[in-house]
Amino acid sequence: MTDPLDDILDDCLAKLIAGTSSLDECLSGYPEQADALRPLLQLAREVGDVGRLQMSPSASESARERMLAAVPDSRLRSPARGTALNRVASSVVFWLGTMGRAESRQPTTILLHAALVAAVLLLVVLPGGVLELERSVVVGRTGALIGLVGEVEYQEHAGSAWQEASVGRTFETGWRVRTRDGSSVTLRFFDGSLTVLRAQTDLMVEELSSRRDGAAAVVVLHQSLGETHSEVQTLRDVDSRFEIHTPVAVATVRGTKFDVSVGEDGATQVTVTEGSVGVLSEGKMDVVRAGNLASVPPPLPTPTLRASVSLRPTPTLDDEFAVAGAESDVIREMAGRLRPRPGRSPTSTARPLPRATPQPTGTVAATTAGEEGETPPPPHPEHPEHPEHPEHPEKPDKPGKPDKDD
Amino acid sequence: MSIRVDEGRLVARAKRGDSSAVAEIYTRHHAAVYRYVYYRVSDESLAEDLTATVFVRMVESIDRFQYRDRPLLTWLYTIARNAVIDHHRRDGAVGTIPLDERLLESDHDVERAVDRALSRQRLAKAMSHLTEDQRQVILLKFIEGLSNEQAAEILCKTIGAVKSLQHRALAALERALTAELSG
Repeated sequence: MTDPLDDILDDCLAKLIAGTSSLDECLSGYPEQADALRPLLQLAREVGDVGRLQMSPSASESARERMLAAVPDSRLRSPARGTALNRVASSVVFWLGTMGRAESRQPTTILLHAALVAAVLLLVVLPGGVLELERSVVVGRTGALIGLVGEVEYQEHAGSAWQEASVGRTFETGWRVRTRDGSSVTLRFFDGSLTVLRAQTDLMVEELSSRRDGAAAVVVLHQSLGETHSEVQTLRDVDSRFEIHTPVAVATVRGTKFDVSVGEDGATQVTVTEGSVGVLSEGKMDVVRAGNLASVPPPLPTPTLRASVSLRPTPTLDDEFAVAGAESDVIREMAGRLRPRPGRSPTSTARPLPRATPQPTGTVAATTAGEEGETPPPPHPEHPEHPEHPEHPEKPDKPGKPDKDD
Repeated sequence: MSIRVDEGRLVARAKRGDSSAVAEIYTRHHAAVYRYVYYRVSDESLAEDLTATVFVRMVESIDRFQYRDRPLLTWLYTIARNAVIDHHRRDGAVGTIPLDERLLESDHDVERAVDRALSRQRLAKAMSHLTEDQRQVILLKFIEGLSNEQAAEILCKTIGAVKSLQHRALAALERALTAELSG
């Protein structure tokens, strides 16, 4: 048996949801039921207010990736294509067999038959190879803006006009974005990783790429100013990497959450909230664990060099981060121990490190210093601890101190 | 094109292994599936993981799925319910509700964010005292914002039954919240 209050409640709910009546207006139409209705209507409204939670963007993207990975790849299976080729091959073989029986076994005929058989085999075998080759091709990838507050601008490429950004805007390699005061924007990359730019931040997308099959996913960003927070998907393979370059350091990770802050003078702070991050500066790699922070002081005023290097995974260091191959003794030595990367030169994207110019303050000060057993770089000649430094007690030509070689 | 025809074609494409159709189904329904799961496990991280499981299972079983002019979400809810049951069988107790860190990160009004997170925890806890139908009608009507007709289709009930169910569900939810406050 139907309770009359069911319909009355439903009527009030419909008006409240549609916004055509307030709670009191609804209840005024049903004074006898008002006491019973009021708490239910209020509750329904509260449930609507607090109940509509969302998946985090990174989790949503990760779930999508998991789901799509489960989709049988019909293109790669190519059942129709394979079947058609097999039918053609069968027909040709049948035809060859017929010819062989019909004609005498002349040498020219045998050669012709052999060539035709080879052609048939190529037709049957080649598609698999072509598809495999196709899968390994490195292609450019894109990302999209999924959240934006305030005033955010972008450049399609260096030198192009700044344009107003909006949610949904896609981007690719060479794209640059900056946030104004009180503004922020969230970038979602093709692999599901996220980077949030806070106010007054300038960031360039240096590389977005992967193999056609999704492996070797590469995200390289250059952050020249401001603060970012990144949530990086656990990288699928050793060829995948996520890096943020700053004027004095490179942060590289394999699935973690971290913040990078770059001051106007280039000074960089890397704060790790989950996982671990390798921070490379002046050829020295420090591993920053969750809950820790690494500071890299600004370079000296003269240089305009960037600590932009090509990072390489290494089996000898923590699995969660990759290490760089760069033009420094330490990194060259490390690069020599690394596995070669298919299709890439080990130092193909290496650029000069700030060590080329005296920078006595340019080392990473990490709270994890000393924990990882990394070999510190030799002090620079202008560093007070270097034997060549005028203030060093063992300086060879220091007055009153005999030269060791003499 | 009606929603049904559109959805039927989408399913047909997904059955052929069209990944863009699969992605479209995910885009349309993942949020609803996530909330459905969340209000059964009361743990955001777990709900995210189980949501991914639901869509993987969808892909794995869509070959056998027959689209019969009922909302696709009904089938997804069925998969989700089974995924939650499997989880409880495997891991036993329901997990705790962590502080909503993402909310805190994205919402500059921290106090408001915490209030909302705590309210959601209370709601999730109170929802656990409802029957399956009651929980689902609360979800469909007041969280997903569906009409009586849409909710009736998904629940396989008449519109009158949905009205009656939402009345009983709200009353039960209010009792559960009151009991939680007093107890």
